[in-house]
Order: sequence, then C-alpha cells, then structure tokens
Amino acid sequence: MVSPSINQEKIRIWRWLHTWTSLVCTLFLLMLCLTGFALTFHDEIESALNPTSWSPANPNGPHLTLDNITQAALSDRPNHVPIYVSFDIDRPVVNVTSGLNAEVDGSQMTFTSIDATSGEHVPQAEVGEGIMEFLLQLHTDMFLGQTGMIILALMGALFVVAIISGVVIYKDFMKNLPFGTLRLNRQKRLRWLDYHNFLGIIAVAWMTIVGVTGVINALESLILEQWRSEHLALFMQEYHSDKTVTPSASLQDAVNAAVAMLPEHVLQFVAYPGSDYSTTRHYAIFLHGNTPLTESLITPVLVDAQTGEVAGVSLMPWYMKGLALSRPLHFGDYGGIGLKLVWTLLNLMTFIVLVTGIYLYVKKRVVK
Amino acid sequence: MSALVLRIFLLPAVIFVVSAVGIIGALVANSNYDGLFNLMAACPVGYAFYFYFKHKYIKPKHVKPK
Repeated sequence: MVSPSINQEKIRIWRWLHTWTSLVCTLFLLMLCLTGFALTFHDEIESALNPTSWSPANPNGPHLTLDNITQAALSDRPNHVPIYVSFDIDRPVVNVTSGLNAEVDGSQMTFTSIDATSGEHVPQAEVGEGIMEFLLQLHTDMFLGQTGMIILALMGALFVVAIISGVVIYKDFMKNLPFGTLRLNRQKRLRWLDYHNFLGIIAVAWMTIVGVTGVINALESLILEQWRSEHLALFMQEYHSDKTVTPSASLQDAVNAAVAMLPEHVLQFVAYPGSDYSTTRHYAIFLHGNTPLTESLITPVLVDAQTGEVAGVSLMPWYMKGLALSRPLHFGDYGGIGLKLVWTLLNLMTFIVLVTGIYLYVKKRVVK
Repeated sequence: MSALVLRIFLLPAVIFVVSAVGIIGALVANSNYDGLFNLMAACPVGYAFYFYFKHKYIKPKHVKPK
C-alpha cells in the first residue's frame, strides 16, 4: 500500500507539470484556437467572399485533353514551358504553372487557371484569399518559417503533456465529487474550476487527436524534406539523366497510362521533366486514393516523357502516410459541414478550458 | 479496480472512446455512415450541454427532514 504522503507528493509533481506545461503553451494555443475557428470554414468563407460569378462554359460538356489545356495556358506566353499541372477539386479547372524553364525559382513561375470544358482563362479569386492565407500562415508557422513550425510543434508537445497530466490530477480532484459536477451556486473560482475540469475531461479525445496531429503537421516541412531528399530522390535517381528532355509523348496518354496502372486512384498533379518533383526525363504523375481515408495518400508514377511508357511506381513511406492521415484529422474537413460544426464546438470547449486555466492560475496567485 | 476509479474514469473513458471512434470512423467511412460517426464525434458536446442544463435548471430534490 502506498502511503498518503507519497501519493500527495506525486500529485504535487503532476500539478506542477500541468500548470507549467499549460502556461507555456496557452497563448500559442489561444491563437491556434482562434485562427482554427476561421480555417475550419475556409471553403465556406472563400465561397461567400467570392460569390459564384464564374461558371464553366459547358458545365456538362466533355473536358479538353490535358495537352490542349496546357497549350491554351501557354498561348500568351510562347517562351514558357509547363512545370506543374494541378486540378481544382470542386470545379472543372486545371491550373498550369509555367516558367522560362523547369528549373526556375518558384518566384519566377506563372500560375494560369484554365476552364477544362472550353480552354478559356479563369479569373483568379482575389477577395478574402489574402485574409485566409494570413490566418493559415499564422496558424502553421507564425510567419517564422521552419523556426515557427518547430516552436509550434514544441507547443503542441507541451499541450499533449498538459492533457496527460490533467487527466492524472483529475482523479485526485474528483475523489469526492460525482462525474459532471458543476457547482454553479458556489464562489466564482470553484465554478470556473468545475467548468475547466469538466470540459477538459470530456473533450480529452478530441484535444489529444488534434494536439498530436498538430505536432505531426507542424513537422510537415521536415517530413516532406526527408521524403524528397531520401525516398523520392532515390526513386528518381534510378531514372535520372543529365539533360532535361523535351516532352514529346502526350500528357493525356501518360496520365491515362498511370491511372490504368492504379485504378482506385484519382489524378492530383503532374510534374514535368526537370522540375523539383520529377526526373529529367519523366512526367511524375501524382495520384491519390478515391475514399476519404485514402484521398490524402499520394502515389507518384513516373511515365517516360518521350515514349509515354510507365517507368515506375513509388509507394509512400510510413512517415508520409502518417503525415497525410494527420492532416484531415487535424482540420476536420473530411465529413462535411456536420463535422465542421462538431470541430467548432469542441474548439470552443478547448478555448474555454484555456481561458479558465489562465483565470484559475491568476486567481491562485492573487490569493497567495 | 476500485469502485472509485470506475466512478471517476468510467464515464470519461466511454466519452473518450465513443468520440475517438466517431472522429476516426468518419475518416475511414465511405459516406454512408458519415452522419452516425459525426454524431459519435459530437458525443462530448452532447454531454457538456446535458450536464450544463442539468445543473442550471434541474434543482436537486429536497429531502424532507424527519
């Protein structure tokens, strides 16, 4: 049997851990909660700020081939070559990134959106985009680049420690109280303490999932770099040659060949020969799954840009799968508006837990 | 396991499991069960409302003194 004094000593250590891990990360978490409210509804906010003034020329008509679309995108830039081709999810729009050559810096690339049903240019959505980008960057790296991401990853790790220590001291706190007790008629500090403990313990599953996936997402650039520099680079190296070839095989045929090889997959984007995401002689065709679970899992297929033959397929390593699966779990954008509302309410509960936590700490200091 | 641990952790553990299954289930499910999983994910929100209104509006019954 453990003596009460040893138990009390352990609880005191857990309380200290809970107080200080929470205090260090609280301001960051408040910022993440507030920006998270808006980011959960980024699709809805963007479409509300940009009412559907644009619609495809032939909504039910057949789509042009990718070769015709890239040709249309470069019609007013004859000296440019295509570098990447990507696709809007909810409208028939193909985005072509081009430059003077495939090796140019990102700042010198041009982004053109084309109506896949007519080949006409699509105007860029401008209203509100700046605000959402600002919020996203504040949420992901606080405008500090990789340093900001690492700081946020550390804050996320502290948050997870605060959750675990909170659950441990919850037991001690609840010894003489039934579950769900809210002493609404007692003094203000006890009321706030009850809200803090109650909301904390019932939202613990959500907070843990969002906290852990947040840490993984914050390490995104490091994980991506690892994938690009080791796994993908090794895969590309097998097919590398010194001179970047000029593609002569049809892009549409190359995509069809890749999709035929992985029938449960959908086209995500294409990297041209010589670009950062491909070799010097292949189209790198990135496909993703067609279910909510697999749509974040990307599989690159290399297709020879001169013969149109499939050269190789690279499956994602485990850490990239982890990153891919942590994104939807963090943002809650995979189950429609219902899940977004659930995310918002749980986010609100977390916000209250954080604010009550600060109040309780300040009040305790004042009393002392 | 003591009755105390059960009393303190059983209900939170049930909420934790139902909520986590809902959150991950919605990701794994193929549209047909999305609604059900969303409801399961919302389990903590439901509990919060239930206990809040219980304490706010349902007063404990007074025991008559003997």
